Amino acid sequence: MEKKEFKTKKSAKTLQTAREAGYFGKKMLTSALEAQKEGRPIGWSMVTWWEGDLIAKAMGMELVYPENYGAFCAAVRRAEPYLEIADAEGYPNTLCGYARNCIGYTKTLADNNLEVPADAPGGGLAKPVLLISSGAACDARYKWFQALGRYLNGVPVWTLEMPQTGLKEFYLPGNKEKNLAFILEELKEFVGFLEKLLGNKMDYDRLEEMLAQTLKTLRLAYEVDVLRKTVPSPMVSQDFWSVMIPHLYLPEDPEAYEFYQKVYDEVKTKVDNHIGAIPNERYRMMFSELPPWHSIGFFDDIAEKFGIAMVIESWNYHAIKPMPAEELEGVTDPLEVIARLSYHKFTEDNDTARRYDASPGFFNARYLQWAEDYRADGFLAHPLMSCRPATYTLLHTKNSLEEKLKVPGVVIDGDIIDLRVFNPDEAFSKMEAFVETMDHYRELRRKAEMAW
Amino acid sequence: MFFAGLDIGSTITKVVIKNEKKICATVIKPTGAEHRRLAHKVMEDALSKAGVPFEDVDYIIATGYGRINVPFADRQVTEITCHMRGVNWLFPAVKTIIDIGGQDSKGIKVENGKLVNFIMNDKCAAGTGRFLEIIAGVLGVKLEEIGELSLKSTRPSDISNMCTVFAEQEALLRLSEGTPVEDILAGIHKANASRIHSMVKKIKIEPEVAITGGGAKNRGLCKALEEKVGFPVVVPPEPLITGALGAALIAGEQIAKIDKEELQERQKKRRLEAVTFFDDESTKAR
Ligand code: SF4
Repeated sequence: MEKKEFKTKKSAKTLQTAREAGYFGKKMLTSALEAQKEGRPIGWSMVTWWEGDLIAKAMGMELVYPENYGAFCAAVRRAEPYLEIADAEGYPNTLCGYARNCIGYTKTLADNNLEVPADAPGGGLAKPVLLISSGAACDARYKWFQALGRYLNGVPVWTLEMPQTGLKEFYLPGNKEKNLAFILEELKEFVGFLEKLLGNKMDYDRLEEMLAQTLKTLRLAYEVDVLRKTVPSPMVSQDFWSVMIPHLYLPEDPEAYEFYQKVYDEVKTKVDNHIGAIPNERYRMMFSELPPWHSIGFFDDIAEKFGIAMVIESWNYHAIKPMPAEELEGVTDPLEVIARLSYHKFTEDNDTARRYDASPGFFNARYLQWAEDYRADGFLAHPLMSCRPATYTLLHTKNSLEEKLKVPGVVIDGDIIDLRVFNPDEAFSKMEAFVETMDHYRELRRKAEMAW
Repeated sequence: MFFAGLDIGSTITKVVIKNEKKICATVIKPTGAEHRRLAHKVMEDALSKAGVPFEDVDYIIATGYGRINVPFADRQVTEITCHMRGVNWLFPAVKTIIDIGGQDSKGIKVENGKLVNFIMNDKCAAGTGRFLEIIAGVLGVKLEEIGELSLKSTRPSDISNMCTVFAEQEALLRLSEGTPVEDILAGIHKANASRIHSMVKKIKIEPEVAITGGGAKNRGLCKALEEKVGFPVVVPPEPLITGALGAALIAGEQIAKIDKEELQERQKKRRLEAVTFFDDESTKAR
């Protein structure tokens, strides 16, 4: 009998474009290292869902993203030493994996007189002059960059807030306007702060250009998502987690747009020719929320063994649905466009949430909608000990899917960075059993005359 | 026709040999690193108990933690499925199975013999046999006696910690305060039952409920769980073999799907040899 080998490193990826997407990760890192040589300012930014990064870039700052760097370090199996450094620094292992990886890396940077260590994965993160953090999503994000500032000789930290009102409150008269006004106000303050820090004025023409490009790229990325509704699925999560890099981190870069045209063409060709990403698609699953970056090959294993295609995943990484035209009608201030764009990310599913009587819209109702749109057979919940926001809704979503749509879920514990808490054998075993559960629910949906 | 199920768990290996009508033999043996490797010996015992030569067994399914690379198994099936099938055969009305193993515990939902939902605790000793083993050691009581002893308690002590390490400290503290051992054990069983219950509750507990695994042999734990669940639970006559039984049942179904020639071909290839998953050096008895 054959010995089962788990692919513990990189995933094979099914799209050629997905194999090429690593270029953008490298581009960000090398551009920052070049900027450092040229004496241009570098910022480290969290994913702010376009709230802060476009502004900083328009001001001439080169940005790198520690969250992306964490995923990269985990994927190339270089995160462990950084996690151990963070452990030794006294940070608990329940703290965000991205934060611990980043703190570990920053400690090595600080210990090396703020020169990037020669052996840093991917060339390393160049020393920043600013840390842009975001209050959107979680509490760790407030404190993590504050902690970093201490290793970096007091580099300033700027935190951008994202009002996240509950579903009911969202529909209160005036709520949206007040939230938008709040965001706009803080963006203006951010611009003022950057002008002082960098000693130059905001180039609003440049910002507008970047914004226009961003909207184009996001629309194209969304259109790729729409193509993915096809059966068999032309693209799977293993592909998405690579191709997402340019739209999430570099949407203003024309190269990202060109790249998405290639992605779109490749996916469309597959759709037109009924070619599935995996040759034996038998089950269509959704994945929530943050993936085990160190073990993406696991998804290749379950595709090969059970015919499981992960057809849609990770709400937080997806491009927004295009904003309704009236949303931007008469809006001329690029800062207001940014405010609306970011706010849309967190509220675009509120109508869906009302329709399904489910909350919150993001993380929860979105998966109900996706289950129908993508004809899902199952839901893979990946709770992370180290990330509350990407975990607290999972069981709730699993139950909602089972009750409302007869789509079952399976829970596989793990971590984004820390491979010590992911047990691939156990996870594989669970998937093997879960296949039967999906068969059972498929029968229930058939009896209930549901659409899939 | 004969078919066999082999369940190599973390602490115990079980074999069930069946024919179309009845269970011909069951064998239960402890699993250590060495024993796990030598699962073929347990199979040999079972075969001789059943009076069936190895060559006459038509299909063998391995399940459990050590199911990988059993050279004499035709197929591996997860323990979740096998437990479900075994219990469903014994108690067709059971809808919720609580399996308490040596290293993990599971909740399994079943409907008309189909696996509807499941949940597992495989990360933490709390809520598993390991938890009770540690506490038994701390209190100096034999593991197989702690259940009965706990039933003698009139005032179960409060054990507030679910974490094995802290619960161990708490048990020691109660001991130093002069609390009778049976009261501490009753408290420990309550805490363990509470932990298991809150996990299984996530998949909605519906009657009938069956308890299986090593934990089901502990009457104190079953009683504490029954109290938590709120209605009576059933326990199979031999709660350790449900996984192997389920494996044997699935093996029986597999035979029907395979033609005779292929079956003979498979039988020829099978070797009743040591499990090769564990490397020889690290698992040799010293
Ligand atoms: S949301 Fe989760 S992954 Fe993101 S920063 Fe917060 S804890 Fe980390």
